[in-house]
Amino acid sequence: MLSRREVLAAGGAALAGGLAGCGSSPPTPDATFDAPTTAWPTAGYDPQATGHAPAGPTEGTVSWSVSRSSADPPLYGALSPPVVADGTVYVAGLATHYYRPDDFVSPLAAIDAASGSLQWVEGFADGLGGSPAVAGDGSGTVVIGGYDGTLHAVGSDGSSEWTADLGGRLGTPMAYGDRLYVESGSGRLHAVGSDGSRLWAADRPGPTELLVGPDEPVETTMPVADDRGVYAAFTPFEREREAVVVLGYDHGGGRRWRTVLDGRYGRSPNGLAVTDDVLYATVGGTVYALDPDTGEQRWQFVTGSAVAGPPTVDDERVYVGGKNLYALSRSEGVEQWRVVNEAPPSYDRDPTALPYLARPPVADGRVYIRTGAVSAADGTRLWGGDADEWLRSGNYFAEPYYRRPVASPVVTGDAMYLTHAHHGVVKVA
Amino acid sequence: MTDTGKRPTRRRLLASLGSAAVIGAAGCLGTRSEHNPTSGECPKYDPVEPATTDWRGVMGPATNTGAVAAEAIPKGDLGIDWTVPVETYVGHHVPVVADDTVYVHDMDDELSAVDAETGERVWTRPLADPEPAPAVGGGTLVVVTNAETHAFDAATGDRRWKREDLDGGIFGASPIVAGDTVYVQSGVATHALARSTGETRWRAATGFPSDSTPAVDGDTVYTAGDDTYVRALDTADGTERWRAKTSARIACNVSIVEGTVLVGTAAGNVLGFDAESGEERWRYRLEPRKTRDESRPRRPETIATDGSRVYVATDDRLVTLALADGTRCWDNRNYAGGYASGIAVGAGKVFVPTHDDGGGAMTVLDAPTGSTQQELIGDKRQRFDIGPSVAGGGVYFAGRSAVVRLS
Repeated sequence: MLSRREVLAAGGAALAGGLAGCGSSPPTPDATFDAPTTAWPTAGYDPQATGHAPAGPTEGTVSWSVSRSSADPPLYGALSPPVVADGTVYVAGLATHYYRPDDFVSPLAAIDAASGSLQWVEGFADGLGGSPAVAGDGSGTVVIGGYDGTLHAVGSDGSSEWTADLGGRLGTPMAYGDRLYVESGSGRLHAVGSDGSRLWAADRPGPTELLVGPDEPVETTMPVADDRGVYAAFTPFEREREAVVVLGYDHGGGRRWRTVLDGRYGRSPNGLAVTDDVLYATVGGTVYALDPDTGEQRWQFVTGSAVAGPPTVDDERVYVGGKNLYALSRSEGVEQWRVVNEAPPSYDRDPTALPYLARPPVADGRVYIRTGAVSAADGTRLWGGDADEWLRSGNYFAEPYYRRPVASPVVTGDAMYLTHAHHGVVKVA
Repeated sequence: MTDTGKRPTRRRLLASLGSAAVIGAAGCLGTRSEHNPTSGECPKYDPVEPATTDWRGVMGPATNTGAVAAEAIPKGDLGIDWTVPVETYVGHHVPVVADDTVYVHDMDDELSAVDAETGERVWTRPLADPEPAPAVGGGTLVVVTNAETHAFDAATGDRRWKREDLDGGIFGASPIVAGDTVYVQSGVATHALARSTGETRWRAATGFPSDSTPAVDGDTVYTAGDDTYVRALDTADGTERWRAKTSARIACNVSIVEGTVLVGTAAGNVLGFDAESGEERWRYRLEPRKTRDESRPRRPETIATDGSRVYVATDDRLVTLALADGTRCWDNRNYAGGYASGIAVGAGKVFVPTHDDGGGAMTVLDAPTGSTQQELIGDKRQRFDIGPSVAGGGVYFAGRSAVVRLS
């Protein structure tokens, strides 16, 4: 039941949002992103989460790996995709319902990108809820969200710089200029300064919130941003089966639009990416293209899976890893090519046994999956393969990895860094 | 354009009420779905006479039309010729019939051949866990089990070959024998096997399983599945001639007749495609199943066609559309859908399993109008849940530990 204080707080937030929406134009933070070739600073590479870097490796074999058990605390939990900045690779072990946050210490590890030596590991007793992000202000600060609603900022030496108690289970933060955007497990979007100051928070809309309370958990995904504002998505649990709500805000927290996507096959918001003309959203196993100014739907592509990963986008195509890896035309969502994932259906005919799922980085005409790459133009394999011996080794059970990729790569100009469900953190160069 | 449900606006609601009134006046059965605002009348019934008199696969010919020649359809009211016990604790699948022999398995441990005239067993052999309906062609009987794909000499039951890497399921696609090739949907690919040896001629992988039995017409095999696409593949090498995207998984069989490829999707749509180009000709959205809070698609389970009408079975009804443009012609709300319920059509008659107050029945419908010509109630010895298959002047059903022939 909602307390009187919570109702008042909700009303106050709505009022503040209304004022921001009709008053003077909202502040637009300065957010120049200089497209580094030596870093992958946030989960989606840039604030738009295009996953499109200017350069990536042209070949590679395993250069080093850090096993899950070699750290203290060990790198258990669901390993986040790596982020890379200033010659360091950061990886978090997230709490899940297998690694319950009430008795699991989530690790955040810093690894030297050149040598693979472990620099430090910090443990977070209440569990981590999303991938790390390197703040966009040049400080090298690493920010990560806790299951307990605390946003943690850690210096490049592992020391705590600040914390912000935002409430709810926090997901993956996204760095936009000198601020951070992060969505809580209650569907509330927070804007936080690089110093940990709270700028604003926007509650998820809908009358049901007043009935179930604003902190009832929902599924969320990392927000993305461009100079028009910030975009978020969440699943309203209470009603509208197979529906995900996508929201467009301005940078002051005023809501610009709201769209409900029906999401055939799966109803989780699995990732957003925005370009000048289109906001792409993966909902369950379906990719949608929306107008970033109005939220109006342009096209949808149903993969047939119940789950697909976050989209990436270059000048020509949208790439998404579901069971298979797909390249879709940006204008109409027509499949251009696919990399068939030969993983067999499991006994219950669930085709997501070992799907790709990972956000597929794209750089220089190459799309990276697992330990290799394919041509962005036609999907032909350039190097690496699903049959790589080391990739297949390990005792796989689909269940714990359901909706999580086996291997999640990111790239810099000369290397791939990936987390692997069994092999820990790996550099391929 | 998506085919997902939209809440009716006031204007659409009024429009649908208006069309319902028109239909009521015209005397059609049921109510027209608000999602199909076509005003056309059902065109003249003008079926194409098929050549086939056997029932070689789960839906008869390799084109999966469920249609047989008029000479293979028994005349007058049907009565039981014979009943053959096929003891099983698991169930049956659709019997197939070729060269006056009926082939049936017990989904457990046995495969049998029965003389179509006398009901006597020609041969019986052990076979572990056969699942979908068999297929027969060129003297070869193909059976997919939950672990393997087997080929037997249809005359003797002797094994010809076995593939230990190609399995199937009770709700999955049945194999198709067309010419000297066997088509099997298994794993995440369509497999074309040499009928004589079982060797793979080609395989086309989508990455997804398929429960949709493919259709073969001439040098093209039409496939569909969880992948959501309909594909036309060259039978020689599996090269894709065209593909058409739909918005949902396809578990229903593919049918091909008169240059039109028919599929039904889990979104509740029946679609007709040009067989040459893959261009969508029409689509019909089955009336969704509405409950208090929500609307769920009514899923097409089986499609048959006689070249004039398209017969679409869901779990609770048979919907008949015009092949030419997808206009709805008539419904039957007594259809008894199950894991192996089917449709057979020929000589202007439609044979289906139906519900009855006392249990299951076999019903013969008039194809032009949908009116019931005969209803035969099942009894303690025989039910009509599995099938029908129609061949050589007999109608075959399975159920309640027996196979029955009617004529």
